[in-house]
Amino acid sequence: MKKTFLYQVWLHNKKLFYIMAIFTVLTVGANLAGDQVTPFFVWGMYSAKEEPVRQYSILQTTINDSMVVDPYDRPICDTRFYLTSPLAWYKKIKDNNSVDPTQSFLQAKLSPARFESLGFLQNALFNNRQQQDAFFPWYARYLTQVTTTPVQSIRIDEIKVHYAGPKLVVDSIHLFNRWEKP
Amino acid sequence: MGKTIAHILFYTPWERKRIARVVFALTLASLVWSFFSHTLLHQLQQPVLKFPYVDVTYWVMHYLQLPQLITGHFWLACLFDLALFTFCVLCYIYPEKRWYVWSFIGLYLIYFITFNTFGGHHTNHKIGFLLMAIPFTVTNYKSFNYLWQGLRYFLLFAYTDAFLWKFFRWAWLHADQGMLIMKKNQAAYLYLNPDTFFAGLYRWLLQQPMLVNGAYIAGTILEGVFIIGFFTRKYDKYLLVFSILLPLGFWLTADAYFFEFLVLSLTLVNFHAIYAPRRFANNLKRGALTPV
Repeated sequence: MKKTFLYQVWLHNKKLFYIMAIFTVLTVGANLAGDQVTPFFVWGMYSAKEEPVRQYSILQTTINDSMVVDPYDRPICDTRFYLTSPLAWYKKIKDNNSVDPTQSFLQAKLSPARFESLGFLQNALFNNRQQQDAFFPWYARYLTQVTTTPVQSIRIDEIKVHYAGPKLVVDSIHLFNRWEKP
Repeated sequence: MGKTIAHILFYTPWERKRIARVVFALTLASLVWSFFSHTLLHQLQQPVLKFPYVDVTYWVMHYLQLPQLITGHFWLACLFDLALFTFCVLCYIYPEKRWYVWSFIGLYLIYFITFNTFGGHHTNHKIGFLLMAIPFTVTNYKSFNYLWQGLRYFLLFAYTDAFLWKFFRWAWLHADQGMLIMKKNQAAYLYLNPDTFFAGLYRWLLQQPMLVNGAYIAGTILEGVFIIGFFTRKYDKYLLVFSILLPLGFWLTADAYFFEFLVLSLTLVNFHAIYAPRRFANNLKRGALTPV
């Protein structure tokens, strides 16, 4: 016991001990609750059981009706993250009848009264229609910066694929969204 | 001289300064990397869709309108990025100036939250840089050492926690878990780049379910091995190797980018073993020590 790390911190500096102990307790608490609150992180990545799926969905971005954007062209990974993740989030919102999925999640988890009490935070937490409408103009600006090509139009195709052995087979391609610069 | 008390290796103020230089040099490299990735705040092009999800820290930030205020005004975002770089450089030059370190931590926290919220996903790979500066916020060299060791425990916890989540959710027993992760995460790459070397490698791996599922289980076991680090420092050099191997595995099989997290692996390095002989040699050269 006397050789433990926290005991030595306690002997050295009580304030430091309390800070470390509280951080430890809150981190363990966040993990037991399964909800991350920065900086009490949860490291549960890839622990959910992956269920076999019939099809995988890929979003393909084409700019100016001619240039397919390949996020993998850019080995710098955070660029890829910003090319793909906000688009995927936008699609989730659209697939949820243009309602922010976080809003739906909280509505499902909280009682109506409790959810109402978050009213003052709604603008800060959820993406409203105005922000959703501003997504493609933003995406065009970001794509212009990354590709150094002025973007006049964006076409997003949703491609459904499945694996036949190691090979990828395309089942369908359909237009998810098209945007043109006004 | 550095000394060991129980399992803690104490670094001297001289060593602390050099460790700080390593940390802030890597942090600066990461920020330069972000510049070339087009992900500094002035490069985000005034993003609109946020993702605070159910993280109260993000809620507070958005309630205060900090992410939208900074990214919404180009020159303010430029100023912010300039301050982030400046304080990082100042921390490198003057690692003993606590308010530089505190300023950097505050700015990096805002950058971290803004990067994640407008990226539409709460990524964890920048967490290392968010926490690495904390031990340099104290002047007392013993407090620094306890905080540095605290970070080592944080790294051990991260991998142990990842192991426990997989273990108790029985993911390691789930049939084809590794293969299904690879199929899901590499589908876009295989579709967009069917003729590359890596596409060939993935197609080959997709025909080796034993190998891919075995790699997932091996990765889970490697994460579990970090539990040892809570009881002894004796195996830190092996844990250091594993902490490098694991992000490589995440990248290769799951297309997950975790390399920036490697900065926390510095807490597994015995800097005393690196610096002490060098310092001894320098003193000898200067004539401060006389060889017997």
